[in-house]
Amino acid sequence: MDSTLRQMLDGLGFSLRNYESSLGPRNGKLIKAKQLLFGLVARAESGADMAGICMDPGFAQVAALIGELASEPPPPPEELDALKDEPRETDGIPPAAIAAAGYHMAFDSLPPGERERQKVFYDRIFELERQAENAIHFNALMMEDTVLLDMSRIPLRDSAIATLGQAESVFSPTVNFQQRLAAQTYERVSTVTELEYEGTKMAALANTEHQWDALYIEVIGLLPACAQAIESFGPNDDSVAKLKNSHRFMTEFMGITWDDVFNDPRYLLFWNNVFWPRVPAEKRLLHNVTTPEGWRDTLKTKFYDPFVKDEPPIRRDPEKARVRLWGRDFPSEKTLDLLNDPPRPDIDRNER
Amino acid sequence: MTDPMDLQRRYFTAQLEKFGIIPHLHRAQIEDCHQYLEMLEEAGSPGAFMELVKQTGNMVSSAKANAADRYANRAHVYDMLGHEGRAEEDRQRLSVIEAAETHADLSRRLEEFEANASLGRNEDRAINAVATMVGALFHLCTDNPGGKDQNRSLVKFSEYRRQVREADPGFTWQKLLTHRPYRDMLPFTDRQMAFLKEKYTEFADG
Repeated sequence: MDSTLRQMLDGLGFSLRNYESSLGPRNGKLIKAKQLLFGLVARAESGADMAGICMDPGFAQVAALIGELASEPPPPPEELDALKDEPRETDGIPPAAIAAAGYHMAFDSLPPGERERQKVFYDRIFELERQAENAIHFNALMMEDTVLLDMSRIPLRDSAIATLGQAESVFSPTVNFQQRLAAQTYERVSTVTELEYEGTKMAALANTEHQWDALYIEVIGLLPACAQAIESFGPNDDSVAKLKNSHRFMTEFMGITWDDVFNDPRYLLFWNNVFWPRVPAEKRLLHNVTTPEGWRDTLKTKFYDPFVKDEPPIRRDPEKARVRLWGRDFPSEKTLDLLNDPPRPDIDRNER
Repeated sequence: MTDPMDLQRRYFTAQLEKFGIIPHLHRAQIEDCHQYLEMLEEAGSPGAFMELVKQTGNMVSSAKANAADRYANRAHVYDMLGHEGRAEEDRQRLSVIEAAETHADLSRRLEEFEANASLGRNEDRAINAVATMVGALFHLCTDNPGGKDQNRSLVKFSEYRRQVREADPGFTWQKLLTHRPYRDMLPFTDRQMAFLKEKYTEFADG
């Protein structure tokens, strides 16, 4: 039997002996678990490997029974008194291998790719096991070390860094900010509880900002969207009326004109990097356009201006060109700056 | 050979040191560690301490303290952002945790609770539907009256308003203006919201 398998089965045996001292040897679930474990040990000694033992239905049953033993009622008082006179195995301190057996079992049961990713953490745990004098020492070393926190925080930090790399191609200021913050936060957290708290806080704030940004793009982009609809489907009563209404409405609603839309850094980020790349090659060829600025001008001269030339004059109104973010109003032209570093509310739990 | 009592103390003091960096996030766990340190001193030996630990539920109090800190911290975040459903649901989880007596009981009670929990889910549904409903309302401000665009926007507005009211039966325009999870995701100033209110009043069927 290899040493890892031996440690795992010894660990199960130790757990059952522990329960024997508190539940008594006549507990039905304990007797059943011991019988099953005896069968697993016999199979292992006959040459069954870790995979064979872990796949054995008896293995899952032993694990389930150990879980159930934690909530078993104690034996009757007279049986408990009799137990007190018996020698206790638990008075002796078990070796570190017993306390570490679960980690060996968990590591061996990981699929190959995941095992490779997690190896650095388990190597550290097994190093602590080697340093430990006994199970209590191992538990103390595990608490003093950062390995258990690292197992949670480092994959999250690395995932944020990877997402940040991919986010560059979607040109989303809210995704960029969130992933940058996540990478920094998961680098500095000191406990799993803090990690969970920070994760909840970031998710709640970021979800609001993602939805805010999506709606802002839809609103600020109304005028080019109207011109684009006429370019794509031709002018009809609906699309021309929508364009004329929008031309007037956006100055009343938000104080902005076509030119203001294309001076808005947040909209330009979208237009240049998300919208323009999706304009089909045949349309670019048809209108002899090779740049996002060229497509903007084509839409304006051919599919916007001709339909609003007889409309009453409009003019921009910076007083109306405002947005609201996290309860405060700002000039709409500052939107990209705001999303790159949002004025988030202070919601930290810092009371004593 | 290190004194086993010292090793056992180190196990709890190491935790206390980490929790002490930001104590207000770890209130229940700090209290729990102190209780075990007291229990250790009363026991006088690691063997007697292990017996006491077994008799008191195999450290179920530590599992409860860990879960209690998690959900109390979450409820705080949701309270601060006005997510009343999620905050209330986490407070209910705290009651479930408090009532548990063993590890198996804790796990079973939480599993049962999660299977029936709907406050947070409904709040998310309402928030998502509000975003689409307000988008449709914005387009209704400029759609050609009686045209196909307006019909499309109206269908969208009505469907998502239905979804909002299904997930949040107390939804009103006033709530849209004052309930933070709704209001915070809208980029509109109060002046701009007044334009949208006109359309809401025109097209909402009650």
